[in-house]
Amino acid sequence: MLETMFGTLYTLLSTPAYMGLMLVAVLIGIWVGLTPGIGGKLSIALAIPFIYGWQAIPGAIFLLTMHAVNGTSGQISSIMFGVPGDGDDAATVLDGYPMAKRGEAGRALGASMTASGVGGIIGAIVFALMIPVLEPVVLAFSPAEFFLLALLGITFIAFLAGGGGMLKGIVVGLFGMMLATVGMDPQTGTARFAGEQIFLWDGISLVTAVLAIFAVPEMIALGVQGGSISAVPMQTAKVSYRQLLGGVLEVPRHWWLVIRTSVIGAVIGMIPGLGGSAAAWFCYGHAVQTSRTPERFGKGAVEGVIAPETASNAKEGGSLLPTLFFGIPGSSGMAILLGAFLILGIQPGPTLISDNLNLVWMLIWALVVGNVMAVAILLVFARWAAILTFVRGEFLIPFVLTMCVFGSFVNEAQWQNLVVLALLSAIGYGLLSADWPRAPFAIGLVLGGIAEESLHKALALWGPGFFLRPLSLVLIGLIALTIGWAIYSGVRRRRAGQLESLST
Amino acid sequence: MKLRLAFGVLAAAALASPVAAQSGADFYKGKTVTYIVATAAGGGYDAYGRLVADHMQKHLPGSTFVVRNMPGAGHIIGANAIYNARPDGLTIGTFNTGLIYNQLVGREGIKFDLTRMSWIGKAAADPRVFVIHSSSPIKSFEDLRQGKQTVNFATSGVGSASYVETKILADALGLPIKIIAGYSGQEDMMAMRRNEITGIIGSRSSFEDFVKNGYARFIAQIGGSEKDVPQLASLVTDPEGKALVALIQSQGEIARLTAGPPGIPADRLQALRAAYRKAMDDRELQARAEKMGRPVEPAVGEEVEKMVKEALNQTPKTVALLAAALEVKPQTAKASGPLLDVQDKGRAIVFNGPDGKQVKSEPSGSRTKITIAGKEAKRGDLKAGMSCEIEYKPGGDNEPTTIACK
Repeated sequence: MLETMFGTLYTLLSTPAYMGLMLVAVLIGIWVGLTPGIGGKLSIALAIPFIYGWQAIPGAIFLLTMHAVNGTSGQISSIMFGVPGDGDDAATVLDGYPMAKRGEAGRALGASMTASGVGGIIGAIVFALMIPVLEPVVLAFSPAEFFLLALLGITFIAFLAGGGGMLKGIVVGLFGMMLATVGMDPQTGTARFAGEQIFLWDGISLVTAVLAIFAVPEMIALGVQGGSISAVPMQTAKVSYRQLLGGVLEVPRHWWLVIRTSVIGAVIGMIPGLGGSAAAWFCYGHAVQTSRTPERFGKGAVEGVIAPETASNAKEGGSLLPTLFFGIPGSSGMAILLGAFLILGIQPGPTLISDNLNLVWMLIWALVVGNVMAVAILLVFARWAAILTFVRGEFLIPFVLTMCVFGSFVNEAQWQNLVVLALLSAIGYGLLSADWPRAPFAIGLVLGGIAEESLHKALALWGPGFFLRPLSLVLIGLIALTIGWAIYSGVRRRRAGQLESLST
Repeated sequence: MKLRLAFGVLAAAALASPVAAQSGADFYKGKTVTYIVATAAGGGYDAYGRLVADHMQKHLPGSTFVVRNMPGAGHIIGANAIYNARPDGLTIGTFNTGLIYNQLVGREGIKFDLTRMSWIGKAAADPRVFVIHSSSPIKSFEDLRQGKQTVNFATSGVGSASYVETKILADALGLPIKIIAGYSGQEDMMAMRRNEITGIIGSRSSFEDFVKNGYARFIAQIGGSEKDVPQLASLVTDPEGKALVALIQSQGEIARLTAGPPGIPADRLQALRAAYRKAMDDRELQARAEKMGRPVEPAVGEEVEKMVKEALNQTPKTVALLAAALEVKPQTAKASGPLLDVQDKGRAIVFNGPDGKQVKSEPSGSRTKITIAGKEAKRGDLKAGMSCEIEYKPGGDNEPTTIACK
């Protein structure tokens, strides 16, 4: 085992052809991640015609690397302009963009890129460690647990509102969950709240909603205020490699959070059916909930950048597990990768580990090396990217808004999404100017749909007693603890506030 | 199948006058053809779509094929877009054959008529199988039918083709099946591995590996040429059940289709069909498809059109069963024959319905379109004894949408 493990690493590093291929794959992956609305799925689908006739190992590491480093570059536009490239990157906007506004774009980029890389590597380690216990763990999660996991994520909303605004947070979260009900009713198969518009049958587009609630309002606000995204002039902010390095060092400083969110991300990725965006949002919520100072989140807390980024790269390693060993893809991106693996002559299934251990280790190392490469390339490039946040708003806003429109349209190629973008942008700007929290909206939208669908399935399968399964009971305990903790810390904070006002 | 392909090729060749085909092919020099795929990138429809587009481009010299993904509403958005595109032969595409079910019952949202589309070809046959968990005591179709306990079957969302097929088979054949809907992609396999569900009715090619890995077994098959699994048609005796099995079988045969909007000029359509045929005969396409594990069993042009029309020609009983499965009321019914009675200046009319029973119907002054001998008319002009074609909405006052009298 050890021999294969290090033998494959040596082969990978010492074969120039492999390293060259990986470099090309990393560059393509970075470029695709940078372009809003184009996800890793499309890049693999487009690459398929080119890989006919390739050998299994180079073909597989090429495609896997290309897909895995997507998340590493996706956060750049999230942090600098508040424009998420994909649903997975959206959580990074919450604290990344406020950091840019404070002139700390360099620090945020350094932290998020390093977090992505480390998350990807931990995801690969989780992949390797989980192989022996994969079957029982993955099979333990059924629709009942999906429902409770989604519910647990939704309870994090209580912390996201920060300070005394729990009620506001719940209102915004409910609004997100309300929008999640638009589309086909999973129970009856009839369109719900869709009017006569069949493009709404698949629900509100997540990318469009997130662009409208986060990115567009920020650009309007920037236009109204004038100036640049960074409130601090460039000379004072000192955009330098030192600031970038400061960001990089935030990752080891928060090592415990990094490990936790990476493992959670990898496990969520492992379970087919939970979806990639859920991992980033869930981990963001987890970071807020476990923080001693949750009120800093949403205003530029570096943990709010680290948590979702580690999760979104770690989930790649996780979702590769069921894809390779069950032949059942862990995500829609992996479904396409699975098809490509078949073309390369790789037959996924339980026998892969005994028949082709070499390939399995090669893929694990490709995840590790690819992530390191992507981080190294992006860190060099990030310093210049960060300077854009000091450009005057009137030069920047048209470009960013074009990116928003492009991102909203290109995902589903439906012009009607632009109308949704405009309508929700108005609501988003209202929330921003009234100083209401916006993160609960995205959590409600992402997790509300999962919760509803899994609840239907769980009820159909086991009836109202579905939550009596052992793992479900553990999750229910966690939900109760979360709610209890929210109430306790809310009361404590209010008392502290009263004491302060008494003493002044 | 080979024979049928050969026949199709011959028929197309005989019908296509070489001159017309040549002028059609000339038209495509320097032109861009949009090939719409009604799903997101990735997955079977996208794979077949890109394969077909690549090779049609190769066999239509000077043309450029661009694949455009238009996902949404269970293929309806893409199919609507193809049907309503300008019929200049520059927009064609692919969508799920299961939309035949939607059209049969007149489901909301559809803005196409499959019988009128310009059919170019189909690339595969996709026989359906009953897949049963390997640890289940159900070893044969008979075991399933005789079973005392209800077993869970997974399907995609309510209203999807897989849901409709499972539901109508369960209802018509009296199988003790409880449907758990909403498993998308390959989640149904995961659910079977978790032992949540016992069975799936799915396409054979998707489950081949799953069965080889020992997770499940096939107990019955609908269509296809494989001999290792008994054909469902041979296990069903009552005519109603047989009709439904035949309908599902015809669905499976027209898999991975390519079609354009109605009214593409004949020479261009001929050129497209010829290019499609050449693409399907292309060794390179066959090799690529085989590598992807995607079988190719093609048919071209009029043959596909005939298959689609046959599939859409169902008895009212079958349509009623489908409608019940989709939980929609058939939107309109058609009747023809003499008006038996006209009352109150045409505010109420009586005629024989499609099942032979008398129907009393109340035409609307504004909504009902009435023509007499091809000319527009008012409901007051209707007289008893006129021979008419009537389309009406069953239920309530049976309001007619159109009345065309001689």
